[in-house]
Amino acid sequence: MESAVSDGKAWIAELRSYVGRRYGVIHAWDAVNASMIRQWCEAMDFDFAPFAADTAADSVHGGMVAPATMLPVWLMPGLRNTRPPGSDLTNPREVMTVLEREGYIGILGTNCEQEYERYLRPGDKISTTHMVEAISDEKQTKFGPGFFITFLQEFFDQHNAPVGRMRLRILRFKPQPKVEQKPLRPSPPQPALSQDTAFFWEGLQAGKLLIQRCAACHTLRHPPGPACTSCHSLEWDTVQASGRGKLFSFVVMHHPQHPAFDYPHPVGLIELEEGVRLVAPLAGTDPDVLEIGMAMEVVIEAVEGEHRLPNFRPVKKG
Amino acid sequence: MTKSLHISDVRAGQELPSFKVPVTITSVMATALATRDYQPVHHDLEKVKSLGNETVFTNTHTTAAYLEKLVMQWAGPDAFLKSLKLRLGVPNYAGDELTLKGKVTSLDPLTQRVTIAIVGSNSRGDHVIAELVVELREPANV
Repeated sequence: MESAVSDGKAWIAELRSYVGRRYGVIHAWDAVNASMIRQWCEAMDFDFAPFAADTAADSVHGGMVAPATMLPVWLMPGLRNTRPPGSDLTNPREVMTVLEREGYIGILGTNCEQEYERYLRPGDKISTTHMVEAISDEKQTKFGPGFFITFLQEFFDQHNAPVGRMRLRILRFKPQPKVEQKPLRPSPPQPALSQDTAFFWEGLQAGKLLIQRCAACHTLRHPPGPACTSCHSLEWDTVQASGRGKLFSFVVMHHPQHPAFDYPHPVGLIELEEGVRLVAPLAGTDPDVLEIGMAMEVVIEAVEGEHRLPNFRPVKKG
Repeated sequence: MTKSLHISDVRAGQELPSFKVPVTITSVMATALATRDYQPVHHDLEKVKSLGNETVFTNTHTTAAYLEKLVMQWAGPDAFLKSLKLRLGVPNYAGDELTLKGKVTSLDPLTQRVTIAIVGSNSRGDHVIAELVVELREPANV
C-alpha cells in the first residue's frame, strides 16, 4: 500500500522492486587484525584487556579478540569506495540512487541493530551479504517527506559460518528549505492621503524627503497645507530636502503602544537644514543618547504596509 | 586483571557506572577514521554546514562503540556482547559532551544474559536510546 502522497508515481514501483533483493558476497579488505583493533580502542578511549595484545592472553578468551561493534567496520569499503577482488561489485545500496534521483537527497541513520555469534579474532577473514529488507511508505518526518529503508547485512567467517548480522534503518528525505519566520509585524498606522499630503508620501516611496514650497514667494512649509502662510498663494511645488538637520525636540513614547514599533519609542521634531521642522520617528536609537541640537540624518525605511517612514538617526561622529 | 561480574551480583534496576565523552572535531574525525568511515559529515566542516548541520558529528559505529564500552567495562573481561539495538535521536555534534547512562532491565541466570537499557544524551537532548544484551560468559561452543 502506498500512501496518498506517493500514489500513482511510476518510480514507486521501481523503488518497491528492490524490497527483498539480495546481493552477492563482499569480502573485507583486511583480516581481523591487532593494529586496527588497537587504533579503534585508542580512538574510543577504551582500554579493555581482551582487546589488547599484551593482556589478552591471560583472559578467558585465551588470546586477543575484537570489539563486537567493530563487526561492520571490517567490511567498510574505505576511502576509494571499492571492494577487494572476488567481491560482488553491484552496489548493495543501489536503491538509494533511485531516491536520490527523485530528490530524496537527505540521509539520516535512524536505527541500528547488531547481533553477534562469537568474538572475532585476529586472522578471521570476514565477508558479508546485503539485502534490502524493507522500504516504508512515504512518511512525513520533521526533516521533510521521506522513506525509511532497512538493510540487512549478514556476516560470515572464512569457513562460511555466520558470525553476526546488522540491520540498518536509513531515512532518505527531501530536505525542506528552512523558512525564516520573521515575526509578523503589523504596519504602522497608514496616512490618509489628501491632495495636499500625497506628494510627501509618494516622495518617500521614491526615496526622497520632499518639502512643500510656495511657488510665488518660495517659502518652505511643513506640514503640508493648501495655502502659503506667508503670501497666501495657493500655488506650490516641492523641493527635495538634504535629509540632514538638528534635533529640535523629542519625546519618548512608552504608552500607549502600537505593535508596529519597538518601545520605548523616541519621536523627534527635526529642524531640517532647509529651515522647516518635521515630526519623525527616531526608531533604533537609544533615547539616552539623544540630545537637543544634535546632528541628525534621515534613513527612509520600509515598514510593513504600503508607505515608508522618514526615520532619523544621529549623524555618526568622525 | 579486572574481575568479571558474576550473575549473582546483578539485580534488575541496577545502574551501570555512567561516563561522559567530550566530543571534539578531533575525536569525531579520529573515531570516524578508526571505523573506516570517510563520509564528509564526519570531517568536512564546510560540507557538513552546507547540508544544514551545525558542525561535524560522530558516526553510528562510534555511538555503538561507546555503548559497548559502557556495558563491557561494567561486565568485565569474561563477558560477551550478544546484541545491540539503538535508535538515534539528536546528532552528537563536536563541541558537545555525550553522557551515557545504563540500567539493568532484566537478567536470566540460566543463560547468564543481562539486558541493559542505555540513554546517551548531550546538550541537545537524547542522542541515542539503546538496548544491549551481554552474556557474562562467552558461549562455550566456539
